Amino acid sequence: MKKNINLKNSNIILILLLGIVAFGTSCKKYINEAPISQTYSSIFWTSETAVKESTLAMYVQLRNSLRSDNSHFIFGDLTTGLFHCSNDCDWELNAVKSSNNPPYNFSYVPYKEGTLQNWSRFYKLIAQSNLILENVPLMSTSLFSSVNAKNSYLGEALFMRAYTYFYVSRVWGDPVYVSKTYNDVDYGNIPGIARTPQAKVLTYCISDLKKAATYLNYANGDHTQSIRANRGTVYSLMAHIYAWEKKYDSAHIYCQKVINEGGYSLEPMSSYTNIWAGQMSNESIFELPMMSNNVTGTSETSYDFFATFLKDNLVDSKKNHAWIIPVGGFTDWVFSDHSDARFTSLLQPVNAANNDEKGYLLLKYANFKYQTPATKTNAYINNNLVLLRLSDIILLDAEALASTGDVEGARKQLKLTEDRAGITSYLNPANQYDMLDEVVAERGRELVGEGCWYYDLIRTESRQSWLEYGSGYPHERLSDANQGYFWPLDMSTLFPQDNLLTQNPWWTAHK
Amino acid sequence: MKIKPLLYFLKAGNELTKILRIMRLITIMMIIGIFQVNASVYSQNEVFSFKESGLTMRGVFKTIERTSKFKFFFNDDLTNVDKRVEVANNLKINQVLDAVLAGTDLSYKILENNLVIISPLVLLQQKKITGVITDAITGQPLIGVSVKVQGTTKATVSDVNGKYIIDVSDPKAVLVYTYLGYETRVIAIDNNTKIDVALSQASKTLDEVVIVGVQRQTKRTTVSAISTVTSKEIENMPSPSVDALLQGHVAGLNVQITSGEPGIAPTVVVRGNSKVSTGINQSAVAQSRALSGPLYVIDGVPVNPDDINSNIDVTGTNYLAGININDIETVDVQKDASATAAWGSRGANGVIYIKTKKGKSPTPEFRINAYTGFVQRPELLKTLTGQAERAKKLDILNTYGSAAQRAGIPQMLSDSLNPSYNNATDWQGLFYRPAIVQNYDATISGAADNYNYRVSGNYYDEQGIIKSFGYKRISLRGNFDFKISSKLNSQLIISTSHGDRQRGMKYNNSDANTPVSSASMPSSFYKLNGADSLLFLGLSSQLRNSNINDTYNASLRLNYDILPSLKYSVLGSANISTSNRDYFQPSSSSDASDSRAAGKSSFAESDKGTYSTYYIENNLNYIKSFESAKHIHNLVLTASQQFSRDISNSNSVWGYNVPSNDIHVVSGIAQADLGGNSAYAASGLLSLLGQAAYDFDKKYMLSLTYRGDASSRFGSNNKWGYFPSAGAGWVVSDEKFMKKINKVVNFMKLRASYGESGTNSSDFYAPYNSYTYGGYYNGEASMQPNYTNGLTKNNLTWSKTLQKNIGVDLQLFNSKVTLSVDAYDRLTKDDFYAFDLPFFTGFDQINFNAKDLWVSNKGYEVTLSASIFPTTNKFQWNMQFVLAHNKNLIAKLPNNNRSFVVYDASGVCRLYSVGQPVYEMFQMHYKGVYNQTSEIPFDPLTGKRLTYFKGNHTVVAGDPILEDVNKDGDVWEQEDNGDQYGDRIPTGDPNPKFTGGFTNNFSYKNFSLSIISVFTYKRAVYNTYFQQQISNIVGGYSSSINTFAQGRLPDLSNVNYWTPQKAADPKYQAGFPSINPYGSSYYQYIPITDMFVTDGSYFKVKTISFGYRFNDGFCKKIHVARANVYAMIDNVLTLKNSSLPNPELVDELGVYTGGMYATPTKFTLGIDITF
Repeated sequence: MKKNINLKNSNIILILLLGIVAFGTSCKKYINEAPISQTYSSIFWTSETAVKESTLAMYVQLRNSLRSDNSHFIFGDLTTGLFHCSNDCDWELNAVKSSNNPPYNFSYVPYKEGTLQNWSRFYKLIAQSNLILENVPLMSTSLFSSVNAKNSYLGEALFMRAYTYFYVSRVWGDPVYVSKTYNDVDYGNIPGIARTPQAKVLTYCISDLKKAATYLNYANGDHTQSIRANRGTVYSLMAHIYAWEKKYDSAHIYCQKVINEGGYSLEPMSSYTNIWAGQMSNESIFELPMMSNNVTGTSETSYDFFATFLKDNLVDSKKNHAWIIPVGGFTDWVFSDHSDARFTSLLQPVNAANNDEKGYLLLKYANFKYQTPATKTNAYINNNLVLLRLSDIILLDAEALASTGDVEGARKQLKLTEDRAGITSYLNPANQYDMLDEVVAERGRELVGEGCWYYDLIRTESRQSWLEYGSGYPHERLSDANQGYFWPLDMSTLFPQDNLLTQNPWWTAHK
Repeated sequence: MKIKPLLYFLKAGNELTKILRIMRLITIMMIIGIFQVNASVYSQNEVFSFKESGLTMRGVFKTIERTSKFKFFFNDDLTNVDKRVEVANNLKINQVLDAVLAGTDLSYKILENNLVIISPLVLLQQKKITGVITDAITGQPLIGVSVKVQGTTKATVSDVNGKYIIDVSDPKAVLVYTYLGYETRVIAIDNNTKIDVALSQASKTLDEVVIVGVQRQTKRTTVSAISTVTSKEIENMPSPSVDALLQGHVAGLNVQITSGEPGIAPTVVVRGNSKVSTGINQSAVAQSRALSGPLYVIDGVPVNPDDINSNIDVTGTNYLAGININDIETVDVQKDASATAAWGSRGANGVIYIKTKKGKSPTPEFRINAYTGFVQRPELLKTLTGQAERAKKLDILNTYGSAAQRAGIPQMLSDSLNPSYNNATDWQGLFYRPAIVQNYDATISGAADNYNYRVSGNYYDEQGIIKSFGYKRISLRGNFDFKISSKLNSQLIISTSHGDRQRGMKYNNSDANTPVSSASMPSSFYKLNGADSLLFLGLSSQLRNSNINDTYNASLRLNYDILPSLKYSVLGSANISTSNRDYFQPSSSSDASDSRAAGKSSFAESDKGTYSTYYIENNLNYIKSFESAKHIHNLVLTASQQFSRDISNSNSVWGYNVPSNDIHVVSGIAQADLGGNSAYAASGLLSLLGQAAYDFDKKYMLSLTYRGDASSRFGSNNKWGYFPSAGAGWVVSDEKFMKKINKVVNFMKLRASYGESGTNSSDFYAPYNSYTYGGYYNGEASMQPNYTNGLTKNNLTWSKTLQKNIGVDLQLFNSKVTLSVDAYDRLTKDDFYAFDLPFFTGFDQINFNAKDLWVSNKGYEVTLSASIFPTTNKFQWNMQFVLAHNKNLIAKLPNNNRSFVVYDASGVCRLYSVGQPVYEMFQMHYKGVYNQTSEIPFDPLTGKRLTYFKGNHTVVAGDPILEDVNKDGDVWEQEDNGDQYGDRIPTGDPNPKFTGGFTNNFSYKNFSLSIISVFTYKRAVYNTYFQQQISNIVGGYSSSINTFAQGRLPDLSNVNYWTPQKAADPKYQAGFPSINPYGSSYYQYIPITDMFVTDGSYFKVKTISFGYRFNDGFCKKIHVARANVYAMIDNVLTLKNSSLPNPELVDELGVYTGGMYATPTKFTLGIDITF
């Protein structure tokens, strides 16, 4: 009996010990409990699907960034003065017009500081490309369908980073350059970064693009590839960057590569609007889908973005608040030839009404529809936004040639687009100055409402002075030192985040 | 580890056999006792003779056995039996035995079946001691008093009539009588068989047990700052949850009952708020989590209501409302690091330990307790109605308007004969009602040597004073203790509750209690139609808004004494809490004729959530006293391992356009209008805890705690967190030099402690970043990081609180007065903080430990209690005064202490700045009214008069005086010249500086009276309600004379507002600026000035309760053991310093919106009968 009792006690102890040990080991699992309701870094970067989805996110972000407050059109078109918006349409933009005092006061855009004076949204896209460039090389190639597939994702990320920095540089001047991710840093004490000179940033972009070109192939006439980066996109961007830097020789080389090797061709005038009809044109080099997709049942449309150019019977029941190309003045300067097919087919005359001026409505993005036609609700406009296209590159080549003194070469290129439009003003210019003026005007006619002409004017301002004499910007604002053509930064929001940040020169003195 | 105990048992063998023999003997005696009935009687008169002399005792017995039928039973180990004895002849059996056993410690007993038992005296001389235990003052019997034979395990408890019976074998035995809340008495039996005992109440006994971490300590020896609230102080109070009842009872526990809505949680903050939330701009008041809340430990099982609420909060009901107040025995509030560090990463904001009642009465007891009462409809916020309103409005318009302006007076005011505009309705009245509160408890309990039990059932039903509000609870609880052997006992607790809360139209917890907010109610003569009338006249009753909370809890603790000094216990528990909301809002299509009603589609939603916590705890306790020549060293070492796993599961479906208003569930809804989701989250916490308590003669105490927590909510690089603490105590009164003043200071203890405790992330997956769907691109899905939670956080860890505490406990004048004073310094670091990230990172925010975010709370606490009269007096008066002062401030901020501001949901700007309290209001300073134009300052250089609003408004007479802090000739919150903070200064601290309570208990014979008061002193409150009403007159954001006509008038009876007529008197001093409805609004009445900041101090007589206990004689007549009746008034009276109707009804940030659910006055009458 004595023995039994002892055994009993020791058994209890043993069971307890066993219990504690077994229990201790099973806890390990639970203290590393991971979520099943979300995906996170360490499990995310383990498949090609994830990389593809991340890559697509860059394009989605670019689309969001450009659409945000219609900033793409404000930056690239409204600022040229070619379009007017009435006082009660976009009253926040009242100061961004020649009639304002001071004219084109970029510093007063109430309630739109967050988009027009703030570049934060573009840094989301930059962070996304940095994330891809950091994670994809760490992934085993076996996770991808091929080495080329893996590399093409890197190529797209390099292109998108370069595109974004170039975009930011053209709007705000010197960017803050970041090419790393901020994982696991001391989040409360992230040191500020000063702005990097644009020239340096663009060098980085060129080197990124050269690398990207080796990772990507030409689309070779496949329309469906125009929605993502390919070698043609890369070279087009390089041509633009070189032109912006006034390295016209290099710009010409890359224009030529696109024109000759890219497999693109100009859309005939009869089907001209196919360019924006969504992966329909062989002229399109890079476009962002903004359509309702019947196959997948998804919609990526945005009514407000394109509807800013439309009203009356063209769109819904909108009566006013449209951006108008006014009659006379600057417009006549650009569209001097009213027989221009683009003038006749893409610009629709409209009378002054409901506070809107008399002028023309732009019809590039006019594929207006209702999601529920029966009740006329959920209006949308089914067009894509084209960011790069062949005629743009042809005219850029013309600018490059004219700038380097090859007036005849420029004339040849101008002929391509002007012939299509049925005008012949390319025949008149005799000297380099006149030829450049003709290129700028033709770019305006061809690319109006595509969010890019303002940059043409900046680029050519030192020689051609369109911003000063056409748009009505004060002379002193446009000097190389003042750079008053760039937008100011919203320092009250951005400076607290980065205390090395500086304001653009003109806007430090002019509020 | 396995070998040592075995060795011990081998060594202890001898002792064991001894015990076994005694047990065997007892067994035999019992068997014999059973058989004795059948045995024949044998003559005890037979005489014996012994031929031999010099026989041993054993020889004498053998001789008798040979010559008679007597048989002897004795233990061979008894040494005396071999002693030689002298016995005379011809003696009867008992004479022989008397002679033989004389002078030994042995005794005998002759059983009827001729058996003679020889055994040590103690085993045979069992005596029954009986008696009655009563209260020394009232003479009332005390039930459940523990009676114990000192030095043995023999114990019993007194019954319903205070009677007890206990068997005692040692004539020198000493009985110990203990009862919670009474002085322990020790009485020697001294041959008495009847001992009646009178126990006197102890105001604060030092022998009360408190549980610190997992260790039992006494009030005398603990070095922690702990305040205890006993059941007596809270029982039968008409409140659904215990947290609200702790108000004013515990120094350093700031409870603010911010809403009178039944079933809603009050705010509970221990020793000042340590949380800095920058997400205060969301309007869901109760969910804003702006304040730091404590950890609750219920019968040893830790529960964090915050975790439960934030994960499955679909009903918003207070978790603690599931616990019946009358089941609670004590609530210990543990405040300093010495106690809270034992709870590691969950202890930083204090620990509230709730212990439930157990069975005590040795005779099974059945008790019924019921109260019911009515809840008074609250006073409506003052306004003018009908003719008076019209007159007042016209007066205002005529006062300020020009002739031309007056021509345009709205028809609503001018056309008094129009039936549409001649009502006189105070719309508030439609929403409020008097209500009923009722509570029924039934309890069965009992206790015996080997078990005790208590089973209670409860039904609580409180109707809301706002229509369609209320809370009902049904709860059941069983506490069962079993003593399985002398070494093994167990405690089983099972409880379940069902809570059903009605909350009107409210979808979330908010202050939108009435369908129309107080500040935006329409004019009294307005005729409502369409959707408006639907809102006023009962949309809330057409809604379905069912909020059900069910809880199921079970816990089992086993205690096993491995050795007398080594005890092991294991606790396992499961707590399941479910929360279900079903919501239906009908479409207003029946009113489609009214444009205001159009477009309101019907909506149905159903949300279910389950939160389960599984907890297991293994404790090893080593308790040893070492006695040296003069001193006793007591040592308690505890090792504990704990593991808890929390799982939250929820799902939700909803849909718009339910096909019929008769269908109140999500059914038959078109795909496009249908939504749903489900969520799962789980977390684990593994902890190791070591505690050591040592004392030297109970005079010098030392306590050490060290805890390690491994949490799934810490980042992968920081899986373990460590929390040390140390405390020391010194009972100064035991020193010789204190003996002289012993009469005055009969107890004095000094305490000091220092330690670290933490706060775990409320987000289960805080260390994990997330990737989310980023939109479609040409029909294909994209994924991108979550920009507010996209960066990895492998270093995420707990938030630290370092706390220093010194305290003194005093008992004066023979314990008539007790005083505890504590001073503390708490510094909270590394709290979870939503960092705004620089743009160039590409990310917006990240929630991470802010190394540079320090919050300091310093303060002191005083608890003074006194029994005014001697205990012998029939009239007794006990009072307790509790006071706490806390100074809260931000000690450090990220980004090199950069200050910043956040606007809260009411538009009040809050400053986050080093040296300022958390949530300090930051506004322009209002200093009065410019009565005359001549008083308005102007720039001596330019001659320009002072302007407001960036030069947009030139100041005129009747305008408020706003301080031009930056002296730039213009006053505004920010300036166009880049001065971000303009003329703002810190204007109000919403953290109360002083809180406390004052409780008085009186008793005379069978009567008792208790008055509980609480107070809050020095707290800034922003009155948004009045601000919005004034703003509506003047046009805060949009000025329209029609909105003035349509709106409800504020109470202007005490407002001396500026008018041109009054200002004609050059001596006129206005009390308030002009309220000109025709004047230009420059936003002067929006919350950017401190014009509406008022003093939130209050003194509230919270509860008055009156009780009467029936005499025993009466009770006997009606055949009950005991009976009490009681009456209570809850929320009796509030004294205040401001025009606020109730300064307590403000949100966490100190904003009074007027929409807060009033705390109503409740009158209850109850009866408590024990059978």
